[in-house]
Amino acid sequence: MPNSDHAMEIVTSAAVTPEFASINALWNTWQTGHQAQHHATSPPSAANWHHLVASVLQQTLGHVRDAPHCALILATAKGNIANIEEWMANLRQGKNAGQLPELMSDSLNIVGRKFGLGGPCYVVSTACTSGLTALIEARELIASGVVSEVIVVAADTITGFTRDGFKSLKALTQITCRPFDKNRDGLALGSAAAACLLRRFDPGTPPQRTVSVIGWGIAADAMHRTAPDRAAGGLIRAIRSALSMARLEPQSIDAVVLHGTGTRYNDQMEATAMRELFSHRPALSGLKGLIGHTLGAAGLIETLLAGQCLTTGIVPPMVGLQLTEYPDLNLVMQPGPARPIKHLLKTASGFGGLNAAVILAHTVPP
Amino acid sequence: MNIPVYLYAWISLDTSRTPPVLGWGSGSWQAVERPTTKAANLACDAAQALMAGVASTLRDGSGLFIGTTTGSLHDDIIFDNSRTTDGGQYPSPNAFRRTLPSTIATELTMDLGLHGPVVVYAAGAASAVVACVRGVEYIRRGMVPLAIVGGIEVWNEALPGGVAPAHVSADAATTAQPQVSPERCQLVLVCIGPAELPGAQRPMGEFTQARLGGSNIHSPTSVDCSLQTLVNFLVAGQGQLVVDGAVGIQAWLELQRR
Repeated sequence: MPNSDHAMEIVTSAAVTPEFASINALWNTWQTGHQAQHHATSPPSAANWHHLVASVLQQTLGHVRDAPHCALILATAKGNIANIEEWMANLRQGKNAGQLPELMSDSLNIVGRKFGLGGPCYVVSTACTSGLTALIEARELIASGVVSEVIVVAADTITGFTRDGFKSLKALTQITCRPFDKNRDGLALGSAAAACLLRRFDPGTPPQRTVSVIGWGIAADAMHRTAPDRAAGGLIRAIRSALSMARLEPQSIDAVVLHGTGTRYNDQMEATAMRELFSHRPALSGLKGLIGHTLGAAGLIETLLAGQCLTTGIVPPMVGLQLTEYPDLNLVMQPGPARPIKHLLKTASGFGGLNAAVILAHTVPP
Repeated sequence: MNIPVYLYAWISLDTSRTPPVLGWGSGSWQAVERPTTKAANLACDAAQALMAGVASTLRDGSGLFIGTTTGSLHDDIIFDNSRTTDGGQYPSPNAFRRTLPSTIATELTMDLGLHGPVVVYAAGAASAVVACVRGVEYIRRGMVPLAIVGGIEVWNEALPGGVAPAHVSADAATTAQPQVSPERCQLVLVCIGPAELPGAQRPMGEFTQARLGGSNIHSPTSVDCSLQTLVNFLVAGQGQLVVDGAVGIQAWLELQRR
């Protein structure tokens, strides 16, 4: 695996949810470990989806140096599902025949054309790993010399379609999302959009510590349409690939921001992977108790907040966790003091047995 | 790392045609024999044929890079019907499990036992070619030992370009072709890999160029016509393919016959 192309940095990031207007607001609340009152309350309108995407995209644009060559990757599990749902409702009434709803690339077209970005522009959709996979794609576009700058946007909104689907799978919590808790009973859904600008490091600028993606892995369980591999085979493979690419031993990982949905099977699978790979018990945390499961946006929004852990040295608590089912794991339950964090692992898993992992570092680029 | 990337085999299917197999780039293949009708099953059959003979060690870590414009729209409609009939009491979990653009790709991983990277792309009318270009790039950089790339579209009578079941099977009824699907499925799957590919047949050609470009985002997206242009390109066996995806992307592929 190549390792000579670490010289790229996450220049700026943005995030918005129905409850939090900025990445700083999210970070400040995460540090307290408190749960927000919310989930799946965003108005399910097509305009809302466009608004979410445009607002985070706009926040990154000011940092772009070369817009005519800047690439744009949109990560989403369902695209503008509010529009599709509306289209399907019309279809049931005999309207719409012969017309398409807003497909994923239409969404990119509608939002992206306002901003004058001229580089490659496409959508990545790999269920709940979409955000992380898109970040990996962006890194690879830069590493292979296609472009020097990429904006990654990840967004999904929750509507009746999605809620009914997760309800049919009996995956939704009846109380509140409590990842890794003995009393956990499922996930909470949330809407979100996040964006970041990834740029090749400019050797002309003074050396300074920056957050970069130094390793990644993607692997498939190849087992089940929705349930994860109980033995965590795919996740372990993805993490091992990321470690290998970053040329790191497992004990170099200081902290992990887990997928942590709060479902029985997901958390059990992740616990298995952590035991298998990390005997040194790195700090484990997660965000879905705070913002819900934001589907295709989850991987990116959680990675960007994980970047804050690196720069501040603080690993906030696993939100929602009160009584751990896994006392052998170092799940963060209380806010703690800052300490040096050199390498952080972020994971995501999704329907169909998809798994992705990235290793973030806070270092001076080579 | 800059590993040369070769074309080993390809299959194209369009269930609205008789016979549905438009092209088969390597050896002989008995079309789709099982009386299945689902697009995902057809895709699995095609991918199995592409990977036949490939050493299991290579197959295990293979990448899957698939383009789609319509995504899971066909299955979205099925699930939506289940959740809106009978007062919404019985939304179907099985139907919901299929409502992701990545569904068919993940079914391919299960059917073939692929554990490598999976990425699903949408780029308007360039989706399938973008997937091919990215797949070539992943092999070239040593990220995967082998890849299946291409595009899959599943249509529905409600969609433009879709064909009502009665029309789809009109030809089939006279010739009793059990493989014609009530879902109109178009797919092109291509097996690509580096020069040394144990178990595989001799390569058909080398990808001398595979790259993405940008352009102004300029017009509404059209459906994935790159599937047909990709087939024409593969049939020719050499030359250059350039598609414009209307979402600010151009994709180039250049193939040199071996």
